[in-house]
Amino acid sequence: MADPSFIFLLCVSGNDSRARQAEVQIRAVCEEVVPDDYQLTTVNVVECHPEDLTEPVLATPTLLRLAPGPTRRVVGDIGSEPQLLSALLRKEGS
Amino acid sequence: MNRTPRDSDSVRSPCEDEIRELQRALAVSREFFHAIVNCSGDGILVLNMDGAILFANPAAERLLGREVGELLGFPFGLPTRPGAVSEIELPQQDRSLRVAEMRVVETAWQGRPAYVATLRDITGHKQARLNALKAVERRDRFLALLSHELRTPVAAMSNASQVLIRDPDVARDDIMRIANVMQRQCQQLKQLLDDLLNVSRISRGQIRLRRKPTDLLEVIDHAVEMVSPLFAEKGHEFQMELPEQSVYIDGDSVRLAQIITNLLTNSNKYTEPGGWIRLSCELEADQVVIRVQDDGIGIPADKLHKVFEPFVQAVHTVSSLESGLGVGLAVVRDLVALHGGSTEVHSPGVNRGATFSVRLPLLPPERRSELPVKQRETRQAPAKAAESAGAIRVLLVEDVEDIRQMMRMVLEIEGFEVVVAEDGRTGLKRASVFHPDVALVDIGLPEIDGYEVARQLRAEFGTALHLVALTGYGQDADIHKAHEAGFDQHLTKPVDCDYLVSLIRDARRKRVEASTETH
Repeated sequence: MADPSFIFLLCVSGNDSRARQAEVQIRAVCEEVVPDDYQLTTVNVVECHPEDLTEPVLATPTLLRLAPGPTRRVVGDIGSEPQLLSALLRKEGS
Repeated sequence: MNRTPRDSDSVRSPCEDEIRELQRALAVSREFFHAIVNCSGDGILVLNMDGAILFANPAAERLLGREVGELLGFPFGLPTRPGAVSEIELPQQDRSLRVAEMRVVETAWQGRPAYVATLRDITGHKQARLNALKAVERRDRFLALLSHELRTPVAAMSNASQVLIRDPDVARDDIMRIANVMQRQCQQLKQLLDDLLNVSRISRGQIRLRRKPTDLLEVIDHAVEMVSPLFAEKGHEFQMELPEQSVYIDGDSVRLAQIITNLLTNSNKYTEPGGWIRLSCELEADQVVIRVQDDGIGIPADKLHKVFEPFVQAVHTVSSLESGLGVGLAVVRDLVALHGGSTEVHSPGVNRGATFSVRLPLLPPERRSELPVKQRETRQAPAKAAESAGAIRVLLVEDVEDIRQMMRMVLEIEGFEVVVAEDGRTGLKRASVFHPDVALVDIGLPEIDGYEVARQLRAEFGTALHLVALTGYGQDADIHKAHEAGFDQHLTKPVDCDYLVSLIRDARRKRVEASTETH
């Protein structure tokens, strides 16, 4: 299977319902817009080892779009902003 | 001085003045900016359209845990909702978390479009809200438990009275069974009320000890007497190991008895029928250690530290009828602490019993030396010297007919000569004729209240009369007021009849002894 076009990293603090809900909402939009062409990984910045976090994060929730480049990041209640998410799912220039 | 374009230096001077003026205005404006932005308690970030930090004020440095040099150019991220408020977490370098409310507005910074994000630290507020929610949850759980605890005895008593109403010819054995049920359930209700009031009073710091040199062994004997019917009911074997001689501490005998009874009822409650409970009392240096040990259902290790917290029950109880509110041990801990002592609990684990230890400071030797040293045997010997001196005369002043009737019956069954009155004036009139040994007086009476009745009775009969207040008001202030009015004792309803009967006999005996000594 080819590498997905869209690679996302969701950084959250803790494992509460808010963090889980953000992941569910982001996944729902991805499934609708780019099914089978995305990868979403969630990282709990409180529990992970500092070295495991390749991208520095000042606040959570932060959603990083690692691919396609350049890296873009959004901070705040991402899940409740489907339009913003849709914008992240457009390749630059398209 | 005003200048006009016609002045000789009009070509250069106005320009210089203008520049100077502008520089001054700029300095003032910068000063304002710094004063407002640097002193703001809220973190302020300016972000470019890629989400990188262009400016951070000192509060933002503190909130993000990094210095401004480190923050400039750092990718913070594009705010999701310019113009709106959202909640974000700020992970700190020590791995703790701060929570901030982020407000974002679009602006321009150095001629380019940018965002200003204001971060307000709401960590404390969030924690307080969480604590409040937990408190509400605990209160709701407590109210559910309380209503269950109150319903159970009420239901049992209601059933008992229904049997009597429906079958007036009920067999004598059944009457005794019904009466025992009612008695037991009343005791349960009374215990609930006492526990509730005590927890609330202690938590508000309203319990003040009435301390005096007190023989702890006497207190223990009294407490054991109160609790032993419960042990008998569950078939527990009870052992007691006490020192031979008096153990004096500077304490409040009522509260000390409460400590002991709560520990014993706790063990009784959490021990399966047919178990054993042991109470021991040992002297260790300048302390006395009371231990109550049982072979009951025990306490899991992870719950041990919580057993003295109010409204906590370590394990599900043996029987739902005996579940209680989980406040008895909290009362013990607080009353012991008020006495300058400490409480401990040990349990090897579930179903392996538990040991509760209470340490209390002994009365210093110099204060002990003047007090009588009593041997246990002599102290325990019952003294009923006054029994033969004719029937004890009891005046009962009580306005509630149900209570008056029932109490009269109980007192007459015990062989006392009883005269009743439904209000204060009648009570005083009857007392003048009847010359009671003991007067039991309700406080909330019509026209003249119990305090006034006590004052007048005391004035008329002096110390020959033993005055007992019977009331629904059990606060410390009420007890104090009763003593001021001349009452010898203050009993809170419902009164334990066995206790009342022994109290009446004791009062009469003491008065007879006192009059014998003076003659």
